Amino acid sequence: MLKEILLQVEKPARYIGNEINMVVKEAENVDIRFAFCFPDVYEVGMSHLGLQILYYFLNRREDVYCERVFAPWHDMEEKMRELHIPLFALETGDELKKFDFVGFTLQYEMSYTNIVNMLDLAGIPIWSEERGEDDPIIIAGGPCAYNPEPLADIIDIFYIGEGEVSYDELLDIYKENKKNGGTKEDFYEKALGVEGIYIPKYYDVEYKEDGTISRFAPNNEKAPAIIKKVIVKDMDNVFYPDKQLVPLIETVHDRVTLEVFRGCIRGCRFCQAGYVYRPVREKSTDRLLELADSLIENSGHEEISLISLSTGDYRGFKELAEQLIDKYSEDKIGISLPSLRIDAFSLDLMEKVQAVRKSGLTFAPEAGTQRLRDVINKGITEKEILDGCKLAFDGGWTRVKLYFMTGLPTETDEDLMGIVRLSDAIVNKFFEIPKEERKGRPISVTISSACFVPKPFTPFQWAAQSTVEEFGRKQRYVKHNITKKQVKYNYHEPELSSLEGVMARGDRRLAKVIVRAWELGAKFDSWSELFNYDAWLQAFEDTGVSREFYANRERSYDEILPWDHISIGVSKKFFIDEMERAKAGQVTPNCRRQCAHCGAASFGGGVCFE
Amino acid sequence: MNNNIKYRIEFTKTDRMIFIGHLDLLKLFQRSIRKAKLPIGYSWGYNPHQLITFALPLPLGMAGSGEIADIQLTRRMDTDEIKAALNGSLPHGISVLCVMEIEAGALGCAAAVAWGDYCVTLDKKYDDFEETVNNVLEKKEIYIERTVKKKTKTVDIRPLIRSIHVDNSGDVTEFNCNIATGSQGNLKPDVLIEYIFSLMGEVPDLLKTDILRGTLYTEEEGVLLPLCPEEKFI
Repeated sequence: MLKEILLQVEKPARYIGNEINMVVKEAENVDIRFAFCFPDVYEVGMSHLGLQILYYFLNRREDVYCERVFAPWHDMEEKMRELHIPLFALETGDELKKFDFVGFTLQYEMSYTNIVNMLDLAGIPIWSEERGEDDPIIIAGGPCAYNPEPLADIIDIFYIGEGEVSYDELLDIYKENKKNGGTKEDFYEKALGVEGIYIPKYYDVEYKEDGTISRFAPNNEKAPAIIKKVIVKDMDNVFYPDKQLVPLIETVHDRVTLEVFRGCIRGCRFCQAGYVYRPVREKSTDRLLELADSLIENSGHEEISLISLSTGDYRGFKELAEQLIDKYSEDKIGISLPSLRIDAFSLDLMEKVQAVRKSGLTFAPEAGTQRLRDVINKGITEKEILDGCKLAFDGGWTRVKLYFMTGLPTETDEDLMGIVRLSDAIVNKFFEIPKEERKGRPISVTISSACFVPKPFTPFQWAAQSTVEEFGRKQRYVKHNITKKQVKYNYHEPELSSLEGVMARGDRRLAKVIVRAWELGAKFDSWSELFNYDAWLQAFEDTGVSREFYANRERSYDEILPWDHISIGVSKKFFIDEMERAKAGQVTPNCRRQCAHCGAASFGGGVCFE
Repeated sequence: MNNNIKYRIEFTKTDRMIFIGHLDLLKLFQRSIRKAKLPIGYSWGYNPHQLITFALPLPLGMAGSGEIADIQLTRRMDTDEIKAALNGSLPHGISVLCVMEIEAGALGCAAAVAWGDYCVTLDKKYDDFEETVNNVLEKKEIYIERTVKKKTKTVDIRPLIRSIHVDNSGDVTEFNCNIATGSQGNLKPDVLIEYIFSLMGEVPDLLKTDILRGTLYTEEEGVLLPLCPEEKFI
């Protein structure tokens, strides 16, 4: 029957598993079955490094079988619902209900309706309180778990921090409890003692008349008042897989990935990743070279990618890059180097690595004027961008991509005009080169502008987000002022960013909106062809929840924020100071130049002790 | 010219692997060859690619028990060693049955393939199937309409059929056929099934039909020779 269905859906290989390096175990012979769920399609989920790490991390235990589950595309979902086929894991094809744990990774807010949909497809009750002893335990982690509250009534356990730290302890407790015939409640109470574990049902929240939180406190004496994230201190000795699942169909990032370091020294004030992964913790060059060898050897991939939040900031970057090129170019293995700053060295490097074609160069100035770049602490100057472009033009790169955001705090039309001026300046820079010396194709500059979403655990967590109408006006303003034919302007749909703005800083009252939107047909919200804005508008209306309250309201520093019981190690005081510095246009040096005493040193490792 | 050694590989594509398409299969072979550390030859040029060619793509959903590919290695290797290395890398559902060295000047598998065995299992038992097939085989010519690139033309498919053997002894109807398979002349088994059904006044449910492509042959002076003639037992 499955064959018949698979021949009627797009890309059937999404549902068959069977990749090189898939882990095969006898499901009956393990104590714990763990379904790792990525709430998006296979090609997206399989490109996610966290999945690759946790899959092998969990499977390194003989008593655990971790399998993968992705969101079926709508064509497959239709068939599954029609024929009553429950959501299944790729490795064994077994339905999710048979698992002990169903774990979701929360990579972006707009995947929440897919989580609800996947639970429903699995025949598992959506609401935590409606699930019984026989249902799996629903656990979630990942960047969006730092504000777990919108999903607090759906997810049983949140894992705050890096998976390598506490999973073993948690699974040991589970196994022991299961063996002793303990209930779920027994397990949860014991799990409260594990670092980084947040179990929402042991906390109560009360609200003021104006809708803000008046009190948030544990209702169980074992529940810690503050849950501090857990992170790996020693990146050289932490588990890292020596192989990788090699997909049978092309995925978004179809290559082996080598994680160079975690965290980022930069401190861009809009960037949640830059704060929640603090402090920066590097792997040594020797360890990375060793891992690169085994990854390539065990996967057969033709490309390896160095990844981190800002690879050029790796202290041994030059040595690492040169050694990798020396080692692998003869074997026709490409090296992909995302997130590089453009300078003479990186351009020279890009010339050498096959993986990068002479197609485009990307800069992320994020804001159009130096003033606003100082506000957001984006340490890149117009001169650096223009100098980088000059070098690139000389080398034959003529397509420039620029990433900006609109709606940043303190932004004025002058800053928007700056986006146009900077693009024009790049075009002019090209035409300064005498005609006979120009290389490559004619210059083209593509501006991509995203809508700013204020995120928890950033200095901008108190800021108001622009409304959909304001974003629209700003985009039209930029578009209207572009005169050069070499400049192309792309912009994100503000409707989606606006909803993301609601979810990002939401509280427990949002779960009913998410579930209502899903009931009205919302899923795959981040896929523009499936995004159903009307369902969301209706869901807010039906539930009486105000989106403006969450997205467009400026908060005061003394308001209890929905995520205040989570600690990322960076203090609230630091964020307040940073917000004030932003308003004053003062930049804060990066972690290596000068410590800003954010609080992350409390983890006792990384850049804070270099 | 290069000094590469050419090898012909016969492999299966069954189970879950019937759901990956031809380009994905190519990529899988490229990666498995790398993982197996075979000294694969590369083409020249700005974007060098591995020297590997397949006889004929297998349609998505169809299984194969005698698929053929040619690869070029930069040095001579023991054929059993090549087979073992590949089988150690390829996922379940694809396994190499035999590897043989072929002469440098020999015709490549894609140009050589001319006929193929197919084993078809229908969705249920059709009592008049055998009789219908016998009628088909007695015909001297069979004109059917085929649509290629939006153009409809009438072609004679009788010369494209060498044999059909029906087994109606089980719960469902099965048949083996040997039909033209390759660039010189090709008859899709689907087309043949649809034609036979049309004579019975029925339409086949192809989604419920299992098709296995078996041995692929080349033709030399009217004689069929398996593309990979090493002894094998299925």
